[in-house]
Amino acid sequence: MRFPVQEWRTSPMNSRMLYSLEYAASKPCFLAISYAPDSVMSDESINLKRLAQMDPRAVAEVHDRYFAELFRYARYRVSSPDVAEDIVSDVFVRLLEAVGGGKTPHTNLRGWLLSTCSNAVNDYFRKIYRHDVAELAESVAEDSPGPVSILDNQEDRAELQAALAQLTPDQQHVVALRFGAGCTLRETANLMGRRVNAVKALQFRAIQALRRQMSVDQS
Amino acid sequence: MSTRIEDAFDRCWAALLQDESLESCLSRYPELSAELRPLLLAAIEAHKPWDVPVSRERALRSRTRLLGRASELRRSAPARRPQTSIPRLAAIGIALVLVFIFGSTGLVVASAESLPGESLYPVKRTVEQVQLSLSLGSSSKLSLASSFDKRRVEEVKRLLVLGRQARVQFEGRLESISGGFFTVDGVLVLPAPGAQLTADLRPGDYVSVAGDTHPTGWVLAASVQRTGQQFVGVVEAMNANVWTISGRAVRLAPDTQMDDGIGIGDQVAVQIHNEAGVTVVLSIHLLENGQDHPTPTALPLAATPTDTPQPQTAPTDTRETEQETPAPEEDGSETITFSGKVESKGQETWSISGEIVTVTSHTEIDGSIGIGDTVEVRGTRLADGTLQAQRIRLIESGGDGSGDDRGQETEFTGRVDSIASDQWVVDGRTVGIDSNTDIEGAPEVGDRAQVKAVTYSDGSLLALKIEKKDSGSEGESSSTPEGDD
Repeated sequence: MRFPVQEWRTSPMNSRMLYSLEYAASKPCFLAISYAPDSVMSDESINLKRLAQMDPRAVAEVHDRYFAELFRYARYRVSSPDVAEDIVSDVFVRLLEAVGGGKTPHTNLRGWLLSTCSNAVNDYFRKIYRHDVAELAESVAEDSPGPVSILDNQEDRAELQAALAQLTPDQQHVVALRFGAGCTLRETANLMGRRVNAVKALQFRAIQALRRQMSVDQS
Repeated sequence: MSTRIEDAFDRCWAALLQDESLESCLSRYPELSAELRPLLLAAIEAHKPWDVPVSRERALRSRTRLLGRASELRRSAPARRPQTSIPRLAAIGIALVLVFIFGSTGLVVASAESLPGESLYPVKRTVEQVQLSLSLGSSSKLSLASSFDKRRVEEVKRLLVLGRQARVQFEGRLESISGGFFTVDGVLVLPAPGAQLTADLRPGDYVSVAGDTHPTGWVLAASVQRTGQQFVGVVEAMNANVWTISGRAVRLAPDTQMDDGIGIGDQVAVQIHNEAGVTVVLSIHLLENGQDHPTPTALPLAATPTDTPQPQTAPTDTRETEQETPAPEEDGSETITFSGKVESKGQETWSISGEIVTVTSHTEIDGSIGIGDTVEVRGTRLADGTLQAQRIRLIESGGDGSGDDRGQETEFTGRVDSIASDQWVVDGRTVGIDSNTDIEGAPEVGDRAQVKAVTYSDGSLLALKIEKKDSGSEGESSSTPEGDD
């Protein structure tokens, strides 16, 4: 199963400023964001001290490294891209507030961001259900996909999201990570802060539940 | 049983992610195939919607929003500094009162701490221009201009700390390019979409930035341009502060950035800048072998204001504004005429009031022109910034006519008549002092000292070394008139 490549770049005014967002074809989990070689960094290389000082460069680096995968995660679970963007923005703000308040996620920043994103999505749905507004019928306008894929994606997404919404928050999280993003079992376990066997059991229950819900929806 | 099917499901899903077919996976678990198949199909369905495009606009919008929030958090963290800005009308009123009470000096003092966007800021800049105009000697003028450049950077940093928006322009060294940000002398610069950028900017370049300070802590730049001109040449001579590169005498500044290991005969790329009427070297990069340029070759640069002769406001500068309107040619060149003082003469290039002029066998040179003479130059500004002389005409003789004192060194010994921070008078001759001047023996006024200096094209001397010889005993002065004036 090949992961499609998405790519965008800034204007070609300066080759050092080129961004590219692409799936890491060699790695099954998530997409990787790569900048010019001098700015590529790993989780460990993120300077949390500078982040705590709200250094704009550190903030921009963290944002640019994780924005796309967090957006895809949020977008996987909510149908509106604008809502997904708001949720991701909220996640980053929570990170700044946590780091600024001395609650730095020391070890697994990516896992922390994804967990926070999952919680933010749950919060969003709780708010919707509480207010019983028509937001569930959100706009499904995409960010310029091809005309054919719009329909396919909308149908797939709507069906999946309706089924997902019936799962527990943990099940939704594991489905998004393991089946949406294609993370390995170990990666998913690391991101969720759980043991591998626990995730294996959780994903199995989740896919069973998802399959049941999708069958119900189809019927 | 449940563990076994969980394992089988997990292995099959991992195999699917590695491009294995569904049937191939299921064939490994025939007894579980019926149960696994719908689950794996559900997993495949669950994967499909993951891939959504992420637009650049969305990412940039989110980043801008986050940087704004970071800026708020940064400013709310430390105790707020007292607000230094004052309402515009109040500032004008205060300024008028100051003028009334203290005369112009009061206004000058009041403007000293002003920042771009404030009403007194133009006063500050005017004062600086006057200071530059009144400064004597190329060394002090250069030093002053350099300090003003640093002041511009400090102003930008203060604006950013205050979270204030203002239009700014400053120059500095490009320290790094990372994450879409440029760092110029410690200031974060984010080129705006469509910003004018000199191609192939690299750390170490000296750049001019124009843009607006942004409350989020960086400058949103409309342009980031490498300043001055760049040429490639071969190092022919290396004196303390003056090198000769392919016939051009170039003066090194204290903060000239250069690669290690440059020696005579090496081919280098030189970035020069005309500052306060003085041409200084910003950087010298050693080029790799194999790039053979026997004569100076201008590298393509984006046009910058410093690339073209500027009207000089300094009364000490003899260079005049162009007499003719530059006429752009089809190939991007333009014909210009200006007058100025000859500072140096090389085989292929002359320096005239800070402008490097290329002289060829086709250049008409009227009369015997020497260093210090005032001349009129008619030439062509090529698209790459080079000024190629078509004719150089003597207007007024002002030099010694030797025509060949290109940064030569001279030595003399005499009594120290006076000592100031930037210049000494020894044996009746004024010599400039800079941070590179080696002063030995702590000579004082009245002592006898030996001076080793370099003579500049305008006749000024810059001391390379001053060494105390005797205390207070005035002896016969002696001189080694190598290029003596």
